[in-house]
Amino acid sequence: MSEKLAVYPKLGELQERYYKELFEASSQGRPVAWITSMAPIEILYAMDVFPVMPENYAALCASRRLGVELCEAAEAMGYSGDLCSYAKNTFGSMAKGTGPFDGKGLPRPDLLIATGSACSTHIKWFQAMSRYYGAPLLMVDAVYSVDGDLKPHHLDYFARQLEAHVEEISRHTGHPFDMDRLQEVVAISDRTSELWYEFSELRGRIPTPVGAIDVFTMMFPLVTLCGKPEAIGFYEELVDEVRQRVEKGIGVVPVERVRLMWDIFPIWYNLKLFMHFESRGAVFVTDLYADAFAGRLDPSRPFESLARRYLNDFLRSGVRTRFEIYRKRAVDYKVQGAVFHSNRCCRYFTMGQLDVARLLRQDLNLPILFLDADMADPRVYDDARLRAKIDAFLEMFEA
Amino acid sequence: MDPLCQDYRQIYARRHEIANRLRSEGKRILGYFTVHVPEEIIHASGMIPVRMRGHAEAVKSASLCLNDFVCSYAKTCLDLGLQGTYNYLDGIVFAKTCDVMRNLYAIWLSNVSLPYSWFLPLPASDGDEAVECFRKDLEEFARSLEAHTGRTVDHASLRRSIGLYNQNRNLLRRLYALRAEDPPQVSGSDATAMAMAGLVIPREAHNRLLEEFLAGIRRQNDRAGKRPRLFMYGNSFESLEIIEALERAGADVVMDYLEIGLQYFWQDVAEDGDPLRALAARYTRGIPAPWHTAFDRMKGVIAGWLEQYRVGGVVAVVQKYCDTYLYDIPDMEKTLQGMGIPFLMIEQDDSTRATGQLMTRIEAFVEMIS
Repeated sequence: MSEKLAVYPKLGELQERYYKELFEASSQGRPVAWITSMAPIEILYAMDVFPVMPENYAALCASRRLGVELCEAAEAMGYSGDLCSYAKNTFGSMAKGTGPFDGKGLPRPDLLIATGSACSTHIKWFQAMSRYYGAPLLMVDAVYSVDGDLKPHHLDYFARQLEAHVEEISRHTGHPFDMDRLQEVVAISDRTSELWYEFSELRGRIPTPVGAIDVFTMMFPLVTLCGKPEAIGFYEELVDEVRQRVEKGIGVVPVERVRLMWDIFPIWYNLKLFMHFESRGAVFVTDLYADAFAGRLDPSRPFESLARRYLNDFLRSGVRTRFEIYRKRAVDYKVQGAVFHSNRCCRYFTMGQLDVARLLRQDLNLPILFLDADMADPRVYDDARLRAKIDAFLEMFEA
Repeated sequence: MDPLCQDYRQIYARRHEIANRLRSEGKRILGYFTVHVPEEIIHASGMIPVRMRGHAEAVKSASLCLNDFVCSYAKTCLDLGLQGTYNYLDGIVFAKTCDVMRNLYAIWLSNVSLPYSWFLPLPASDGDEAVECFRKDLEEFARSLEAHTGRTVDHASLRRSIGLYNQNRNLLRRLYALRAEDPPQVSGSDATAMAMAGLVIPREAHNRLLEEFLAGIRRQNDRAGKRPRLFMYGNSFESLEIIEALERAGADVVMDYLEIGLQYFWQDVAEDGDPLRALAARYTRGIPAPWHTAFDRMKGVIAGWLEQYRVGGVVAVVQKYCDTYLYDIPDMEKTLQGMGIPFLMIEQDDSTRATGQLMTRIEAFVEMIS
């Protein structure tokens, strides 16, 4: 295995500082907003409202081995065990007041913002948290065609809601809105995504310079700090380091035997499963999970370009579009097989996998592996079974 | 009237036979998913809209296309699509409500070939901008139906269809008002069977059926106040077993908020002004439903019915894996507890039978509130 990336300590610092600032912000009376992914985090940074993404927090809870305790606590509140495990970890943390940072839960929200551009689960989950805290929920309603072009009136509907929410956020927090400031933040966010795409492209080189664990860990600033200058500084260093690896031909594994792609959610409480692949010379050279959080923006048209970003092709994809995105990546990155995580709590991203896999098999003759698990609830996880399936799958490439 | 339509209790069970008969007579049939697809537009284009429904048996073919953790409604509908039962359809129409409906559209197209398909991007908000956005999508939907059928869908034809559907809603409300009386003049299972028949036959035939049924009601007052009065909440189910089991256990199901009941027909469409705008308003904010309506508002709606119909208990019948309902259930339970109203939660799928443990729970619940 290659050495650990030198930027890791810096990532740890960014994460620690973000959560430290969050707890300070809350104790100093600075407004805190809980937001779903695909909510316009840039607007919050521009208005000096502290954004928290419970999804990211839940992934962190799961990776710090709190998943069992928190999911059980959510069920004790009456929530079904079949719900999204990001939601269950968050509910559990709310009820117990525990979490990975000094044993504390997240500071309570002053307001919540949910979009429907990813899943409709976001809407229900955030409605429930809004009731729990008695804090207002702003909805950014997303309508779109599946597998189709983004229609002008759908883009316009989304963008107008963003503009309207600026006033609402101002009303709830007392913080004014400044267009110049939003344009600055949008420019930073755009540069962050640009760097992420560079990183993602370098990852696809032969041999792949980074592992799947690196990618899923390095996405923290992209998800949480989009619009903060430190995200740019961090990704510049990351891209430099990864580019040097590429130039020197250093791969994440000594001998790259099988190049794979991953769909879609990581198994947060056992990212080490990726090391099992790597120990057999199998590497993941592309995935759509982290990339879904990136998107180029035009600072001169901030609302419209935020709307475009948060209604992107991937979010609007059905079987056809997703297959086409994967087919292109498989060809571009010389992918030899695909692994689908059948994530039992997520109907939004998991439905359609069987068809996408079938099309990839038919069109590119790609071998496919399905792994049954849950992204943040380890209670159904069967490590031995998954490892045996992985071994059998990788044997196919040895023939 | 079609002889098959005479026994309303048989209509739903024989819906594919009826549809095939209509098809052989040259009628064109369009299947639609969810209560949010404006049937009036389909009707105005000369086609017969029918609600897509599944079956109550074990899933056969759909498990090759759908993961296990998807509601049985989606699985059993697709099952029938894959098996060719729905070959009488000209096409299908989906509306974006939950994640499962959104995804099922693309999966359906990827596995079942159809002459026509459409996806309605339904807004989740209630504001005027949401309605206007949906109006534009309905306009496109109407144009696509015109292109498919060669018939013009204009204001005049839409108004005629809206009138016909409002008449149907009015008849169904009259029917449901009878079940809400004390004692109910129609049982919950009979009223639901009649409503379910309406999902799958032409509106004109359903209106005639309802008129005859209502004319034939013989009033009874012998057992007022004797049986506990229940309200049923939830999405949908294939068979009437659970309602019938509650009735057998000694309760009356006097009202419901189901996708095959009140959610479907409670609100009229305004008959003045731009018909597409009226349809857009009615099919978005006109149907409070858990997938978009926050429970804070939903509970006010529910509390209103509980009071109006003097309800003594609530039974929630929710499809397993249905996120949209399940996120509200803990707050619903708390709210009802606060109101002193007993609550029975039944998580089920379309093959659930009211036997064994479930029957025991149903009997215990009815006994508790009797």
